[in-house]
Amino acid sequence: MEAQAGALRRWLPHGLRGRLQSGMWARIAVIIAVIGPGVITANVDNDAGGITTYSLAGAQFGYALLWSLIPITVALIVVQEMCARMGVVTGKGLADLIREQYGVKATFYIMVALLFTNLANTVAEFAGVAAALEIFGVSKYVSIPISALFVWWLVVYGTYRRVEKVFLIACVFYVSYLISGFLAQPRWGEVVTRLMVPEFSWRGEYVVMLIGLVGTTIAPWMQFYLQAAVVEKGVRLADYKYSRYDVIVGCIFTDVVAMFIIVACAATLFRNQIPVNTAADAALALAPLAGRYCAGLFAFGLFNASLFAASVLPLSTAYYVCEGFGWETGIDKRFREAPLFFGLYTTLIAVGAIFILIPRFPLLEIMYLSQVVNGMLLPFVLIFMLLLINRRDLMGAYVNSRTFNVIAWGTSVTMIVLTVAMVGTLLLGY
Amino acid sequence: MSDATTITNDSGLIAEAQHSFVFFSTLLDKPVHDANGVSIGRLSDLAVSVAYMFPPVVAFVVQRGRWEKFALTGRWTDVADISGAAIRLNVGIQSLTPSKMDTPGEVLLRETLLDMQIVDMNGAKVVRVNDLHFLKVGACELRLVHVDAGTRGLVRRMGWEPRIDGVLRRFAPQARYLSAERLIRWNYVQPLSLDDKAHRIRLSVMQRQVKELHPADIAEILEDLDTHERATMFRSLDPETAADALAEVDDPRIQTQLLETVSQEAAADILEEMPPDEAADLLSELPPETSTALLHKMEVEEAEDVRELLTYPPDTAGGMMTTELVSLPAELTVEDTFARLRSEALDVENIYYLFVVDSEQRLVGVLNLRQLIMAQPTARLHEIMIKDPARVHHTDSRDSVAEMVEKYDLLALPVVDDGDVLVGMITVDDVVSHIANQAWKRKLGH
Repeated sequence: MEAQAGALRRWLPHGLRGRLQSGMWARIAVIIAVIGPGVITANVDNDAGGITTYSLAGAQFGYALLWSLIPITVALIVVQEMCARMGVVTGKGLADLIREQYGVKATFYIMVALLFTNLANTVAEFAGVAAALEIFGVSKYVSIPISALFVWWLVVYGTYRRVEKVFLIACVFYVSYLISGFLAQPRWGEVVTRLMVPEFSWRGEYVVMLIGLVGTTIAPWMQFYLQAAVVEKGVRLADYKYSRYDVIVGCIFTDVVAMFIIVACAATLFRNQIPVNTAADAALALAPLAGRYCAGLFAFGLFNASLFAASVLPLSTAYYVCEGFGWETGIDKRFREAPLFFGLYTTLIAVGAIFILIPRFPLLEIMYLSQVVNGMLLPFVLIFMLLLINRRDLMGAYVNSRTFNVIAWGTSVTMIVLTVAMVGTLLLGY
Repeated sequence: MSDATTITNDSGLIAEAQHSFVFFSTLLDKPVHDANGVSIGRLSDLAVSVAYMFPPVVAFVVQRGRWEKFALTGRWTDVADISGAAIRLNVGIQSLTPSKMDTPGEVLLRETLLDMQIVDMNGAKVVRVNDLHFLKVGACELRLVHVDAGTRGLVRRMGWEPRIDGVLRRFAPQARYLSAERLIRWNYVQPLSLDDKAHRIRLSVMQRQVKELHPADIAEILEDLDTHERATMFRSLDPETAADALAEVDDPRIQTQLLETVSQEAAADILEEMPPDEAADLLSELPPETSTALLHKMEVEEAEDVRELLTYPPDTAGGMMTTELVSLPAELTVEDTFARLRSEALDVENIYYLFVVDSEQRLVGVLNLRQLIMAQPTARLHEIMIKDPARVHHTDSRDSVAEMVEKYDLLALPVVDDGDVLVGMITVDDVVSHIANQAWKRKLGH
């Protein structure tokens, strides 16, 4: 963060530099330096799967599920904040901590499960890229190899800082959903009321969709990615409060985007009772109702989100698997220095992309399976997190307070119950 | 594990001089029986005394109870035999101390070493401890000799070693996995998580070894470590080593972070040891209050050089240059020049190029060491120097500096101000990374 203050100063004309002495500039520099991990993690949460869920929620139930976004945001903030705090206080990633405190076996099973779900998720992301670009008339046999190569190149030839900048730019493109939300011309008064006033229905599909919304919110890999990114940033304890803002801003922005996706689909597809099954369907169906630009922005948003997640997922997976097992890692390394890290990364991308190119590959089944494994893994990750963050020998004075523990355990137990319910509904074939 | 000592007699003694190796993972969680063969619990940790070159195991911790867990600590001398299915003691449970031990100079292995990161000083790398390797002397004297950082260690911890070995021997007997043990000798191991007391004992040994590493290797180790461990290691370096390593760290973020982990006095000492241009680069990354404070704490002379460099924008020739150079009056004879070099040149990074100035300190010529050596001792510098040499103005951009160096194949380039007064020089190493970047970009067609 000090480095950032220096960098910031260099950008300014010579004469102005002295004025940076004032505390305000220094504080802004610190905020700029600390921001990133929270915003990025939360945004990647709105990946191909997330956007599909939100589109379907809007298209099938209109505004009826909007209210759930507020408790979901709170839960997201509670869980992410704990990860950021652990990262800052211990200076270690979640995979590191689990390995150091719970040994090889626990680490091994968690990592194998993560490897599988993340591979399946990566496949889903590439499917999103393919679907979005097909709307613009690009064949998947062109789009997939190119985007896979781009993602791979970005990390193998990039530095951590450059990669993070690209990721932050990708976050900005989520604004396309806000614009398409406005272009859909919803009744804003109704949107606000339905957002604030909870309503509930015991209808089977409604409950399943609600569970789906919650289930897509907190994925196991996010906790590992966020904590590792906070550590990589080298955030100091003194600057932790800014990291907290980073998490809160990221989570709120993410769910605002989710809200606009629901609103865009609700104001058009739901009102005209047009059935859709995927996010790409939704984008296509938007064109006659809300105009070409709205549909285009919607499809572009899907492309951006999928490509973004397709870059982050393999990267973070390779990162924490290697960390947990003690293999060399790091974007800034050369291939030869960290062969397992880059090997794993390359394999995840290659396999993810190749699956999409196989004609009649059971894509939906894979996505479905990945959601199930995600859901089964989440309880373990959340419980490990809660146990770790309450260890005074690791966290010192930064363990959860009693109140926070009640909220955190409450949130986690709710998340676990709902996620298990989601796995149940998926297995029962809803 | 080659465990040769399976024959025991009633007294628990084994034929002497039998040496074998034992892995920590094969002892952990073994049942522990008292002298009467009654089960006490399971082995949960071992403590070693780190004061020795190869630390002996001196104590053990037993975990008792299935649900309500509690720990008992015993001295290793109370152990009769470790080779059977259970670890047998020669005392009863009442001789064990309830609670976990915490004796100064003794270190619990599972708690502080197993699964943690260490620095392998021999390979100059950060690795994770998968298992520990003991030399077993006699019945049950154990000495920690190796740290296992290899895949075999991981497989062993999973409890799969016999099965995987069996499968591989059958289907791929040449597999590297079967022969490749990654054992690191204990004396090459730098633990990072030991508490302060135990740490200090090992530190003196470590410092000697760290000094033998190339600064670039130390820098890489530092970059690989977690924040806290990075700080621990950096604080253990002496100012000179720290300065060399710091200059080799590529990421300015990590550089400033490291400098902030030591006291301001120590940071000032480190900055003094760095070449002024590197120190200036580093200081310019710090907040103004910190860099001013550090400059105040530095020796006046070193601080002056750095302060002067700080006035130049970093992406200009002025910001790249160092003020440590050899400038000589044109009237000096070759003989006198040698005398001067002997007394002055110790601190200068590069003396291959010598700059000749007039009485106003204006740059008039340059000569290299070869010309100086080949010249007659009585010759004057202005007779042998290259007149009107290539130079850059301190406001010139990084690109034009790189261009000059590339074009004229120079190892060092003089930097002048508006009045042509020599103010510094840029050595080729400051330019190389920039040129490399440019070349790379061109290759990619940017």
